Amino acid sequence: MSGVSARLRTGHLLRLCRYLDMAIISMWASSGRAHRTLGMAQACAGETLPGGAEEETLGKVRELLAEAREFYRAGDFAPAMARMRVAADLCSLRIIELAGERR
Amino acid sequence: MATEAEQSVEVLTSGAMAGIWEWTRSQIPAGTRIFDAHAHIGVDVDGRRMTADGMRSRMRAAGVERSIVFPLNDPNAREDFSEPNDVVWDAYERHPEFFVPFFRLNPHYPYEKEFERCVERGFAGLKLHPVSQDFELDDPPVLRLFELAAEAQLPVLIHAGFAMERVVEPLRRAFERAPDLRLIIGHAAMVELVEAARAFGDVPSVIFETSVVSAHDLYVLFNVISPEKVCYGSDIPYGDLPSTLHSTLAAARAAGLSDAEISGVLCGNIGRWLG
Ligand SMILES: [Zn+2]
Repeated sequence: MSGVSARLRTGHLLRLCRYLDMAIISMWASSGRAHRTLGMAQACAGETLPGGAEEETLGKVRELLAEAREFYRAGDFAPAMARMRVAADLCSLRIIELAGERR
Repeated sequence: MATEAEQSVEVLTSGAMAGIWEWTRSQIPAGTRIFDAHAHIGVDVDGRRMTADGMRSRMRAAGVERSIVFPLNDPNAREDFSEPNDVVWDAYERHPEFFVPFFRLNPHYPYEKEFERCVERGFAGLKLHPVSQDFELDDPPVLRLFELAAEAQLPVLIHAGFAMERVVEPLRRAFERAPDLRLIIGHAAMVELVEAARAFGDVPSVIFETSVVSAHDLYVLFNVISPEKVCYGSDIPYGDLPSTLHSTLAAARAAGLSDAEISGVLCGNIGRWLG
């Protein structure tokens, strides 16, 4: 555990969850901005917390998002959406896990 | 050479999904014969489609043994869905040991003939989609349909997910009219999941199905209801097997479900309904 509080970790992951949801919804709605919202989520996932906190979750989300974006660009919806779903699930379950931690 | 379907499965379990899929597989209790309670075969007005063979390859690749299958919102449905229902029946006849066929109806039109035809044919259940067919679950023709299904001892799977607002209150009315109704709540009642668990968690003839529900929704579900009341679904072609198995298993583990409980969610609980 780095010295970063569970509250800060949670706050950061909530940001990422929100951007992931935006991207997922725009992909389902076939919005012309979907690739941009995907880019927003990717940018947020690319940030690092002090001390490298939450890198285990963030690293997985980054990989999933990079591939999701490629599939989406190629018009391959199902593999893109599968990766978005998993990224969002990893993020939200980690937040739930952190809710039980005091630091 | 790999078929289109095999490639489709490959892209869902490789790259960044490889580690996810490996973890997911490792969480499936030994001896679990996965039963997918929600999948579509046919064509949708939005252009999505799934064939019987495509479905079978996906099941084989992901280690899924049986699937409940029913039509999409088919452009050829006309008033009675008979054509898409026939497509599902054909799929079942080609793979009787793998598919459990449900038929679909549109309550806005006379449905008695198609209902009777499908029951006589041996369909195992009925699927209703209040959003696609634009009705409420307590509209009079729908309540009548619930009654007919209960009389025929036919399980009904309702879409109770994206774009649904009213789930619990109309379903209470359905159970007033048809107390013996066997109901599969598709997508676990999503926005009214907690209230639905409170209202129907103790009703033996109700089960909640997990397809394309977020892992945090499922985490809450597993904490407010007995795991025996939950069954796994994929919603192919809107969902897929690897990512929906991941969400169900990750949520179940986070909620502290035992191997036996998880096995029930993946196969035993719905298996008890459909043999
Ligand atoms: Zn569906």
